[in-house]
Amino acid sequence: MSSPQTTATPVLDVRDVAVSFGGNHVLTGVDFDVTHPFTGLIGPNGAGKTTLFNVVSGYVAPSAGTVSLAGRDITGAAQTVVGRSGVGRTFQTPKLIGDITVLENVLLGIDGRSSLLDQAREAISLRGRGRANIDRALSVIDTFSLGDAAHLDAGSLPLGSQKIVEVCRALVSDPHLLLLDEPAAGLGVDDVERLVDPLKTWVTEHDMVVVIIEHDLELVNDLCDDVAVLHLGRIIARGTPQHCMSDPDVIEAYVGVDIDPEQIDLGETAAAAAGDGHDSEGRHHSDHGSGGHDGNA
Amino acid sequence: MVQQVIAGLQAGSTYAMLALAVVLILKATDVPNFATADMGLVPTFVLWQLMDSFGLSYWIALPAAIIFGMGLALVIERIAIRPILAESHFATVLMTIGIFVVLSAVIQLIWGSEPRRIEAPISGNFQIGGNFVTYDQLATIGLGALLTFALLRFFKSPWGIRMQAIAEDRVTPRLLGVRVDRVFSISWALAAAISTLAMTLHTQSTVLTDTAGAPLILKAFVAATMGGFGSILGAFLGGLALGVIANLAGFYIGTGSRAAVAMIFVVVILMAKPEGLFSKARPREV
Amino acid sequence: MAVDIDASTASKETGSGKKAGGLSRGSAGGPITAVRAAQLAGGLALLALAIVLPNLINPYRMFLATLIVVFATAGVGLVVIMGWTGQIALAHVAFMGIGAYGTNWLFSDLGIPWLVSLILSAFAAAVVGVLIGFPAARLRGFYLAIATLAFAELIVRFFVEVDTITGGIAGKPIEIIQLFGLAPDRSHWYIALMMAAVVFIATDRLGRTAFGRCLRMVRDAEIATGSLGISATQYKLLAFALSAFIAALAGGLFGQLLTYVSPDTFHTALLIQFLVVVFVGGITRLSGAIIGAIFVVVSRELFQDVGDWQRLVYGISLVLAVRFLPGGLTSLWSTLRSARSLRGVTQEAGA
Repeated sequence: MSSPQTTATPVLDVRDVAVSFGGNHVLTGVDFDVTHPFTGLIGPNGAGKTTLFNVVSGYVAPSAGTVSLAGRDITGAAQTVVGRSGVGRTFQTPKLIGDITVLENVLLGIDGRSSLLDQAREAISLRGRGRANIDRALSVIDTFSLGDAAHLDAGSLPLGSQKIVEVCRALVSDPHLLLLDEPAAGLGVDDVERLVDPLKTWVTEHDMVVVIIEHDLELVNDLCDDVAVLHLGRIIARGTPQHCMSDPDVIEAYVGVDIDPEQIDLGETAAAAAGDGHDSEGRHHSDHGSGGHDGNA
Repeated sequence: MVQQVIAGLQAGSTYAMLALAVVLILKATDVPNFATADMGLVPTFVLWQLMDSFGLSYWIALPAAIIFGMGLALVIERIAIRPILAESHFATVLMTIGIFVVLSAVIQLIWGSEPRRIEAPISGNFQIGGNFVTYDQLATIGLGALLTFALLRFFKSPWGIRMQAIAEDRVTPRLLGVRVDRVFSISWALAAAISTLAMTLHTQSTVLTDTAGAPLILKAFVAATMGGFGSILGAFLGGLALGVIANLAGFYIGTGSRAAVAMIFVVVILMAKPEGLFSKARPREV
Repeated sequence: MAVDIDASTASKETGSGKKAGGLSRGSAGGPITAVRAAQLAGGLALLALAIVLPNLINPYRMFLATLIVVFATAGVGLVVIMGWTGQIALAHVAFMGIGAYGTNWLFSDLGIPWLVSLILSAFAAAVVGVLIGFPAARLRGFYLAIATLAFAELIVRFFVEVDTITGGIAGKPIEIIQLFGLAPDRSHWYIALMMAAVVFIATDRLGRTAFGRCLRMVRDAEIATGSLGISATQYKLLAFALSAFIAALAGGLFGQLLTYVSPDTFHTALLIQFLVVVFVGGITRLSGAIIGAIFVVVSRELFQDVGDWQRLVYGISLVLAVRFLPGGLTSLWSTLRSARSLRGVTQEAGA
């Protein structure tokens, strides 16, 4: 594994954040700072992982605590503000527009950054900035080897490709922080590779860190140097993947039984489970307890 | 002024009952039914026809009309609604608008535009504290309250809870073996029965015309809005409030203002508290 | 199991594997130029036909043809707000009323040139559209439908109340204009054509740019708009303003064709006709507005003598369109095309 490069000021610093809906305390006292290129956020269903993403991206305002982006306080800021501050995000099911092309979907990542005046100018003239944006979008699409599909309707692509399109859309504006919500869900091994390999290269070439919510523990093990485990709204473990997955509290949270950590290696269990084609927990479920489907609070 | 309030309560009970029918179908099948009023108006015309052509008494024609209305609703639900339930809510809204247009056109074609009268079975009135209350008004208000109470109890019962669960998530209950289609049919039939009753009471105290449905469906939605579309009690109280306020406005400001007041009402509510005055739920996402 | 209705209905609607022509059209060689030449020739022929049409058919038929163009233009507004932005906005015909009443008042009573009056009324309608948009932006689905219906009622009521301008409930005759001294039916036809051309071309262009993409994102993936820095509210307001503007333009000309308007003209019956226009034609495409307009105007004619049957036809058309053709008639074409191109696309067992 590459040596972990850490950043001095955390790109993302979540302190003591709490979120409750009605009487339901979804997150309590969550501290989460991001200093590594790839940070994993794992935990059983209903832990609150997507809710944490929603807090960071501004969809949900926390009832307590702060969120800072490279030292700047963005607690409770509106989604559009956060989006324009260099935070990109994907969703558990890809939020694409089915009846326009892949290229047009990716262009939406730049559209949000341009003012209305710019858009009006683009509408009137047929060259200029419009061309530059298109080239930029196409180059990102090519990085992920989807160039051939650039002019197909996004709705016609299989799920794996759609997820990649969503990642391209998030990357085209060159964010500093990328939030990936279960990128591997519903994907086979080949698809995961198509998504992850170019992403790894991107991270080394750009000033960006990635936070991944995942149930695929093998992927997390492979990709992340730093992992946080969320369970019932609290962080119960923090550290390297190996450290977290052999933590007895974590094992208990996943398996639900008080067992001797010597007797089980969660990473192995996950690998074995992934290996025989059957999913471990929750690949087909959305994170219900953490605020509902796909981030709906 | 008390007279106006009583008249307002009567009108409001009609709005409330229609609102109950709207909320019932919404809670049970997740469809906002713009055709609710006309689904009750067609049976009301049938009632008139039975009384007029066959000389049947009100007490026989009314149940017959209600049964007819339930049958009509079952047909509509089965043919037009169930096949598109998997589509977006956009589609179901437009579909019920289309059904409303069809029913309204059918009424116009068969019965024409001339106004008709339905003789109320019990005429006369009595006095409370110097104000006149007709038996008709009493019946309307009383039935409205009764229906509200019954529906409230129903939705707390196992059947009712099952119904709501199905409306929110159509897949899981099916997997658990619940007869979802049966639940859908029953709720549509029930709503049509309520609607028939409401339209009958309304038109027998005013006049029976082919255009009676359109203004009422809008008021029903206003009343349901006040209750947040999920609350039975809210819909009932909302309907009553709407009736009283609109009537008072009509009396003091001018008849034209009644509809406008209702509209301003609903706009203000939707802006301030889209989830309704009485509800704790969040507004439905479409 | 999380079912993403938006993506699946969208692809259901247009079929899969369709190559879009919006951006980055390659410039190959011969075959494309030949097709282009044919298109150009066809277009010129149509243009010539349009110019001489008044000489070929009688004034009543001209009236119908102009009505089709006007309906199609108004339909474009609905495509923008309902088809592209996904808002069930039912106040459209009220905006047409603002165009009709406003244009006539400014022109007839205040003596402002007709075209200027039309544009001013359209801007007024756009302002009202934004006002309606503010609360409407917070609502979804049928809450929105009801709110816009309520607003439409209020606007119609306004027409009744302000009777010095509008003639109240009895209505008002419209002063007919004549373009360069041409007969009214010709004037109306040419004005309608020019207006339609401007509206169609401008809207089509907007639809292919960032504006169009952002509107569609509001429709299909509003939840993700914020994360891209796109303000859904801003785009909804713009869509409301644009659709109201277009509706008012069409309304101004509509008034000319009817020669007399009353508040009732812009009420439920007309709204239903427009719902049929976009739903039979296809609500996401501009071409759908044309097809739908033809359908409705022809129906109006066929069933003119038996007026009640008209409504039945509209209702049944709406029901059938929603039931069997959620994408309208224009989606049939792309469904046929996509059936062919699907064979080339690899299908995995996706979600």
